[in-house]
Amino acid sequence: MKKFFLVLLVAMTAFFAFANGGNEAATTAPKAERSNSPVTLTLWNSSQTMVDFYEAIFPEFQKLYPEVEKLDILYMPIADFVKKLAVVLPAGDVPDIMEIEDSWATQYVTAGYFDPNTDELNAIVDQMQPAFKGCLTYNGQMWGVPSAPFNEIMFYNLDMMAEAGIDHLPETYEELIEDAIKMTKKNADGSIDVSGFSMRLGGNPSGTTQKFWVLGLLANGVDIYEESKTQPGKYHCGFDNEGGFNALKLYIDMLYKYQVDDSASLKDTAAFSAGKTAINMREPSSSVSIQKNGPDINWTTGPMPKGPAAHQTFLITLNLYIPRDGQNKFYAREFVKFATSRENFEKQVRERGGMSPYVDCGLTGGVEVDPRMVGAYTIPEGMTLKSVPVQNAYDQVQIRIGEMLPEIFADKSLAGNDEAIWAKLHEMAKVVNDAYKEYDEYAE
Amino acid sequence: MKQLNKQKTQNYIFAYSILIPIMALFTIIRFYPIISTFITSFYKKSMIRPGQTFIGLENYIYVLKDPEFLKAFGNTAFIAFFSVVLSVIFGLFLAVKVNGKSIKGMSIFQTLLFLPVIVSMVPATLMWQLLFDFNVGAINYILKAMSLKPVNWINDIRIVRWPIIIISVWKEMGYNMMIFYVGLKAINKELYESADMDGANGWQKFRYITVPQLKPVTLFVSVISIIKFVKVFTQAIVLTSGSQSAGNILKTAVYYIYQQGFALHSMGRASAASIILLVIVLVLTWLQMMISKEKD
Repeated sequence: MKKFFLVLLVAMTAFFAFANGGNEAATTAPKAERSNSPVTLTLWNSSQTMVDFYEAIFPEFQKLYPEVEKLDILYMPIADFVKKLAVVLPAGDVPDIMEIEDSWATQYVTAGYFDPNTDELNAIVDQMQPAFKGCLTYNGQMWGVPSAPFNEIMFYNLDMMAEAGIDHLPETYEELIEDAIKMTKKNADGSIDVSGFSMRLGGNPSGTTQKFWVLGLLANGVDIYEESKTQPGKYHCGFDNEGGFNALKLYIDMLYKYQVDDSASLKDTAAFSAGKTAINMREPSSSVSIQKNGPDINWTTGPMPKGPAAHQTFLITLNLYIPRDGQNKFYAREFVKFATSRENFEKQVRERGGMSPYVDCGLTGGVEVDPRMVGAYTIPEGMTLKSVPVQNAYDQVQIRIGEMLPEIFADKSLAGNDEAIWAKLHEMAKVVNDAYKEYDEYAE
Repeated sequence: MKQLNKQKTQNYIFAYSILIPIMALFTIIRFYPIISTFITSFYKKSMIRPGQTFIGLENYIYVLKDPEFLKAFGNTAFIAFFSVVLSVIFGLFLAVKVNGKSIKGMSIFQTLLFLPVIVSMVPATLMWQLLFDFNVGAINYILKAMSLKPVNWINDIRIVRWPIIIISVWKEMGYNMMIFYVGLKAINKELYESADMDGANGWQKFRYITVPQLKPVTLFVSVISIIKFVKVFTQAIVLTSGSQSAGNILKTAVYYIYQQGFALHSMGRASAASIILLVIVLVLTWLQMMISKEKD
């Protein structure tokens, strides 16, 4: 009898082991040309604003391609979308078009789940600001076309600024810290009641790293990675240096020397909407939440102030990608061309706010929609935009650093201890270099 | 004789026709994932990239050398130890109280104590998150009312393990109470009557009758609690996630597995960490059973 169950167990294991292999043949050949039969175009994304925009422009697209009967858009909140990507892309169960934020898409681009751009799509990207190419290029080819770019900006509570006697938005980090100190309010026990500047001290690791990247590293003239001078396409840690030290020291000083925030205070957009922070660094989309949850807050936005070593902000963009296993590739490409055309971008900016990636495009349209969003739609002269790179290891690098940072920020003993800050920096650099080594992307 | 054999065969056929679907289901949902996890732990395998490479014990070496795993394991051990000890002690204490003299409305009291067991962990943790909140939480409000300093329960790395232990004990002690309660009901009342005649006091009866008689139940409760608390995950992730907290400050072993598998997409390392955790639980259970046997 034991033998019987053993045979049964082996049979079941073998069945499931072989059952995994069959999904590749299930896909049908994609349509590369125009079709005589009706077509339904499918698009998945995680931005409700863009869903509305695509639905609004679809009738115009239909005039060009009447056989496309329907644009079927599946919207998912970003957390669900990211989980779904990891399952559907390897399984090949994909829509015709996917709109994904660049930082989430890089690992799937390098894994080969999307089609590289055609010459026509590349021609569109060529008319856009050069910074966009950084988040689209891998191995000399481009993947995806920017559809909704945005950058990291500052949200200011104007009433708190007036109360503290501040009459203009900070233009440099010195002014930013000075203003944050003036606007910080403490409880009787010494804890923060209203933070002068809301600091991202934890949460989703990638997000924690991104904030450290823009507030700390970019302002101090360094980046997370540096490309090898001798071996292009290979990288090493870019912040194991003076700039990186200054970036980490800035965080430690803001927490323990200037005390503009602490770990217990309300954070981020929730704090800004509740009047519990004077300055918040965020993406422009958080204005929706502020308007909903803090309708009485008197606010405006401004670009990132000039850092001690550089004036930079990061550029994030939703890109339209065509999955390798998609079915209606011809129409998918045509729709991407149509939606990202100069005319449609102008329409998007004019009617819904936002920013146009085209080099010579006027950016005032978005400001007309909401003047408070001036910081989001104007790039000051001299300010450079940095985008996330398309690297195999980058996602892991972001997560691993983001996992280390909360403990580093919580370590009070780092205050005034340069040696200890350097030690932490070297630890982080080792993690970054190890990640590049793991993906065979490391070189000095 | 022939008739008897035929009957026996028919019985066997009937028994196996009933058992085979259940065994098949059990194989699919229990054995296959364990075997598959064990096999995967020897491969370099990404969740999002096709193909896999056999790398022997490399995943195990990586996990055991990874400071993040050691940190996560340390947190898990700390939480599991205090949660097991406290939930067993409180469970036993409540069972003894509930088993005492019959009080009016005792069944309502029992229901209230058992209620946390059936509440889903996510909403329960969200409720506790509000209670532990530094700024608006009821616990700090009480502390302030008592002229004590408010505690940064969720975002202070030195403290954050305690709210997890409190939530875990609150959630589990009702279950332990019920098991102990059943155990107490099974103790022969004559033992207590004899002790009464010998003039034993309450503590002596508890120490020399209740505790020894409940030994098998205590072993069962402890083993079950260890298995549950070594897998601590939901309460840690819900309590400390989000940009409102110093999130991910409290990494547990299961969180590490989740992170390796679903954030870093390294199924090989996630599998290796899972097997290590499985071995640890097996060893702890075996040790506990051996210690108990030794004492017997």
